[in-house]
Amino acid sequence: MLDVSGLNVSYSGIRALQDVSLTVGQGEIFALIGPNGAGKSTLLNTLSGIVPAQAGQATFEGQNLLGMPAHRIARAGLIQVPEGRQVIAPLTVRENLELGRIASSGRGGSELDHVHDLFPVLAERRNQLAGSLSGGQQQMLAIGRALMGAPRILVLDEPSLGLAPVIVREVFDALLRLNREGLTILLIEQNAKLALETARHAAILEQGRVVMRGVAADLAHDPLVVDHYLGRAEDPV
Amino acid sequence: MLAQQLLNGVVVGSVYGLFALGFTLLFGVNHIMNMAHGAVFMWGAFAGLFAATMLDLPFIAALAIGALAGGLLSVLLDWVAFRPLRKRKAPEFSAIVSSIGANLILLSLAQQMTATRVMRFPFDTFPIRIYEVFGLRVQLLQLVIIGIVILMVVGLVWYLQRTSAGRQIRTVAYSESTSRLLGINPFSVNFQVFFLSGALAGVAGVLIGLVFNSVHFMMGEPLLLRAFVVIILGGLGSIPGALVAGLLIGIVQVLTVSYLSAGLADVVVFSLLFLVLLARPTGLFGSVHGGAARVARQ
Repeated sequence: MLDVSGLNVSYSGIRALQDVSLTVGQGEIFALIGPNGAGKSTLLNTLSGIVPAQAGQATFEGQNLLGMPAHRIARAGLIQVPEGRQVIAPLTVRENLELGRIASSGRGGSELDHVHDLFPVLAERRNQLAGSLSGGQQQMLAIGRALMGAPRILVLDEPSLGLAPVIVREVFDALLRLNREGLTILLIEQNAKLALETARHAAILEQGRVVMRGVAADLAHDPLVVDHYLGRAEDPV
Repeated sequence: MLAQQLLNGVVVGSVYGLFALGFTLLFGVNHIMNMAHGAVFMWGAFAGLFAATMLDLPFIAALAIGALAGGLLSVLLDWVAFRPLRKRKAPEFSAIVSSIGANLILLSLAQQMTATRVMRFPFDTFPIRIYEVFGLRVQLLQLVIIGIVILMVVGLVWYLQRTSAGRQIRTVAYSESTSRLLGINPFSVNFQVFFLSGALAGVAGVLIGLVFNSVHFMMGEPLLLRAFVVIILGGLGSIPGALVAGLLIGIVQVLTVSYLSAGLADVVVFSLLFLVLLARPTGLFGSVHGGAARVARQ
């Protein structure tokens, strides 16, 4: 569904991604983990058309993503939930969701009911300003807004960042449910344990390179991964 | 006498507000200080004038043509002077320099075309009708101008607040990168913002041309300077701020001219600006968040 090969990205003279390749299959959850500054967000923003790539290929359902303007990529169905939610604070919850519909370019139908069913709190607070929501509710709104665009693949940048564990669980349960309903998901997470539990396949990015990839469950038992990413007892979830 | 001057001040001030509104809209959404906004205003006035003189069109059609000309010129300005800079991610200052250049070109063109003459609307463009209200002499034109300004402001606020296109503009003002991730077409939003900004200037141009019955190539320059005062006084990017400050500047200017001296108008206007900034550094309606968030919020 999404194929990335040999991707090179640098900006301000710093090489952010080097020869990155990965494949996300239809209907799966793919997790990309790695430390801060490894280039995870750069990869997502390259796929979304916000950051230009210098070399390599990225195709999504047969369309070449590189060089395509960002709004066309979103309308083609690759929709990103950006890091830090980025809800439009001065608009209401309902208006934020309506904005999300722009990306659907006619694909959509009853997304609003679906979003309200998934996150009932968004229906309760539909007339409230998005800026007045709690962090967890804003994350739900950001995901709901992306779903309004009837995504073919949902791309999430650190959805657990800054959220209480119980809210993280709620958000990830929603992602699992969406995936069971057939949605393909590409997920970036610093919380490696959570990501590997949720995903079918995963890759580990370090200093702009993919250093490991494979079935998420296998990676979760790999001694190197356990050592570097899962060994800490203070993991929140 | 005072009431009469206040009325004149409100009429002129509301047109200043209209002019400043287009300027502040562009700043709030695109972070552009369009130094050619005065030239757009002037060309809008000329377009309205030609519609009235050469095509012999009625007032309302001349006004519409002034709006259309201002809007299209402003869009053209975006394509020629701003978009190439945006593509190269040039710093905001380059847009100021580029629009100063565009302003000079537009001024020279108008100067050549009119041979530096001051031109006037034909006498029958707008019927001269004067009403006596509580001892005030109120011209029909003054009432119509206040009505048009109210209509345009209400229309603009409705467009920004209540339509899907307006919400997209406010989203771009709030966060340009997020708007693209949502599938919002930046070209379409830019087109609308530049067109609206220029159309407001064009209407202001025709109205000011009628009020003072004079249209000339330099008419936009003092207004641009005053628009700076208006938007700084009102708070960058603030729509109510632009209106209130526009009215205030118009009234202060008219009162200074009639009670002190015409030469002191700018002195008083700028002193007022400094006084307000001493008390409120972000302007009357300003906030520390600056212009972008303001347009999004209203």
